[in-house]
Amino acid sequence: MFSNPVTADQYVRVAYYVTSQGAGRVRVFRELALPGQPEDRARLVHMFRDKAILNSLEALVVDRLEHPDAERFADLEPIAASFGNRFRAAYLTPYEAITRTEIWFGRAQTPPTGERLTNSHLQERWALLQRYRDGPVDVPPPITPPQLGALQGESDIVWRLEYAQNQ
Amino acid sequence: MSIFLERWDRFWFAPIPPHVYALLRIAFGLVGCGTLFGLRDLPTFWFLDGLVPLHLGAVGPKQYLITHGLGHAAGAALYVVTSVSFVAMTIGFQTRIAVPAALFTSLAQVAWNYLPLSGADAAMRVFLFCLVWSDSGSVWSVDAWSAARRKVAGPPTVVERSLFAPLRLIRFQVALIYLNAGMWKIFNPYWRNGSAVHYVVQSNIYRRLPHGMPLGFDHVVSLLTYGTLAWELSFAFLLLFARTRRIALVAGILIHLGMLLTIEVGPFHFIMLASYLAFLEPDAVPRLSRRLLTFLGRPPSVPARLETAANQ
Repeated sequence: MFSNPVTADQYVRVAYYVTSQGAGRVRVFRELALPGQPEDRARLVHMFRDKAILNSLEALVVDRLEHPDAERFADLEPIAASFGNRFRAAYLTPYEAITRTEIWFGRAQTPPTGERLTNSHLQERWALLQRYRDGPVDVPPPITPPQLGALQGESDIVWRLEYAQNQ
Repeated sequence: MSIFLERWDRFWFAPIPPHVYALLRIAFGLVGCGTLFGLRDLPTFWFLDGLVPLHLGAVGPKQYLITHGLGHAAGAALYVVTSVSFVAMTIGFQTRIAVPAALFTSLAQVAWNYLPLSGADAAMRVFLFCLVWSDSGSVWSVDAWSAARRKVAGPPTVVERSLFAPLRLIRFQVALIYLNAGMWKIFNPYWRNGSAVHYVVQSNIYRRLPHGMPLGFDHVVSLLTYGTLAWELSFAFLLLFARTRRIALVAGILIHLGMLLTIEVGPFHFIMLASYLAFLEPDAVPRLSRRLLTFLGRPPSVPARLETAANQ
């Protein structure tokens, strides 16, 4: 266990592109998938959902190493399907549909031994993540949907687009 | 040559009291039940539109169930059957069926949805495989209790002795788990430079407390990195001698308890601590239980019957 420790805090964010019947406007909603529990509290119970997401990401890394020429991998599809279904059931009306799902993997570097993030630094990051945790956040849609491998920065988190599926 | 064969025979096939197997059955069963309780969210972990890999190109029973629209029912049925198997195993009800059923359903779970599973579940499957070959239900079980009730008027129930082999295999497996982990770690630069535990306890995925380990503990954390590495690499060899075996096991208990307090990794520590029961001296387990029963003021009825068996 922990043979290869990760040197960054890890996050997964899911984005849904939603269109309404008759209306041409696209709305984009984001929610946090990983970690499942707030980081500013003690973690007392195991989140099997977190483990499932981490295993999916690990499978993606392995698949990429084994098939460097492949354009598409199915490893993150369970995350997109599961979160998409939940989002659809909880927030969408029968006249709305998800037209695109994106999965972004975020990393925030852990300081090396002898250093720690300042409290204000952590508070800023946690406040940002709390917005996503409170429910899907409606964000302005991009002019063109980002390509796989696109990067975005939020607080000290660097997000990378790992999965995108148009429906 | 005959001495070698005799020792080989004694090493693997010496008869031992079955109590240690019963203890392992209960401990592994409890860990299994706890894991299944954590996976009780059927739509997320067992239904096909949850966090379940579909692998639609695959063949086999899963593909058949998906194409025939039986995915949800099959997922729910697998969860129920797995839970029933583990509960039956824990209480020792129809143990000869329950333990293989727990193993089989655990394997089926990997095929159905491996995503929420971890190394702890892999270890569980191996331990269950070993336990299948032992008579873990002849004591401390519903089976034993109902057999004793049926024979209340007859001669005392004789507790059959079990073979040592499954217990040896569990011990080997525990040693291999640590040796394998230690060998992998030694190739990682963070384990070699003493910072690996720092990154684990600071990780937002694993740390128990919001801020991880305080800055002042960094030297301790560095020592823990090297200590863990040394302990994992030497564990298998320390088991060879009675005195060093105790040191290895006590260190293991302390390391697992320490990790349990500082990081959250699911059932891993529980399954490993449960597996340490395999290192109890098999003859000491019924003795300890007798003492415990005497201490609790209950008549040790089972051990009296055990004496009959042991003296045969």
